[in-house]
Amino acid sequence: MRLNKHNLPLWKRFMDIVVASILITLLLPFFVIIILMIKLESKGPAIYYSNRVGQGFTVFKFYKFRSMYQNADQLISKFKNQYDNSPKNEAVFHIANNKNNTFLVGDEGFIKSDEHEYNLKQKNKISFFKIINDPRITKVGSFIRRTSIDELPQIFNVLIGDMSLVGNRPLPLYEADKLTVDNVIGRFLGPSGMTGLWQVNSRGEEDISADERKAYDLTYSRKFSFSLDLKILLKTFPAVLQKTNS
Amino acid sequence: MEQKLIMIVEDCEMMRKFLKIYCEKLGKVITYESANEALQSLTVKNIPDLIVSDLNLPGINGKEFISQLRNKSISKKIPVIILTGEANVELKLDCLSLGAVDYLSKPFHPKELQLRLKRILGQFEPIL
Repeated sequence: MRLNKHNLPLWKRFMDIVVASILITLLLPFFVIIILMIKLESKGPAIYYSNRVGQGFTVFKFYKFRSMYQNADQLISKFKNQYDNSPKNEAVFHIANNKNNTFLVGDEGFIKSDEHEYNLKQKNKISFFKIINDPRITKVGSFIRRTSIDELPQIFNVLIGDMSLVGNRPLPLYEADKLTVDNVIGRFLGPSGMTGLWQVNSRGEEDISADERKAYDLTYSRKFSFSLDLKILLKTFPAVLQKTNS
Repeated sequence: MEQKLIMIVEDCEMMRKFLKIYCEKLGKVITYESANEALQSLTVKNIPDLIVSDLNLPGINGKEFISQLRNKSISKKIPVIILTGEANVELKLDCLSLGAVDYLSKPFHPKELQLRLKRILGQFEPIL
């Protein structure tokens, strides 16, 4: 196992190892209680992982306490399709007077090339989407998500060097793929982490736009430093409390 | 095995840095901000095994860059992959007609780019 997989500055990797070790030692009894609560309410493992994209677009296993019923992952594409096809996402497409339009062959017959291009752009517009009042979430799940306790197993990700305590949020593949465009791709040049600039600068998760998040991520990638990390860490606790209360 | 040399021509600094880090898994990487700089760098001792180029470049654009590469004896056989924000099919056809070996639109999956580069560089493990 490499101790510093992403060649982070030594101060950052050192801080990650020290803080993560202390937190794991202190929180171990609390972890046992949470694991029992999850196991008692619904079938399945207490900790699960999903593949997330971190620094340098490396894919790693991102640990969380399970907050959903076991078959939840299979439902995500169904929800996403519903979202993609909802009326607010529809737009009327006008083909300009383009007599030289090229036709492409697709699964559903012929399509004009500029129409196909437009469809692709529409598809790629959504890089973050959230489901409100998600029926997949268990009761314990709802509590641990509201309090951000579900994120605590990521301390192990920090310890083994997949990510840092402070950094840009690791993203699921389907979100990360859409951010590989000029300028925005810079978010993957900086460290990924459990908490970051946009988390401490938003009052609640829903009040920050995707563009604002991207801007915060880019700023962090460019400007991360020991003092900025310390500020973000200190602001994280009030931000979590505020989120819990709201 | 001899290390491959990959040239990246991209005007966006962030994209250039990202591609450099990602492509370093496959070989040595040199980057240029413009096609002009890239063309000037080509010498007998500095011939890349592969070029990844943007289309919208300052000065000489990507299409002109492919043409100029094809017209020089020193560079006419270097495979060129176009990586661009333009998803336009006609542009894609133009680039392939000019001699680009592949065309990828942004946003892209970096692993897909890596696999395409590997194939061109002959680094694929044979399946059979």
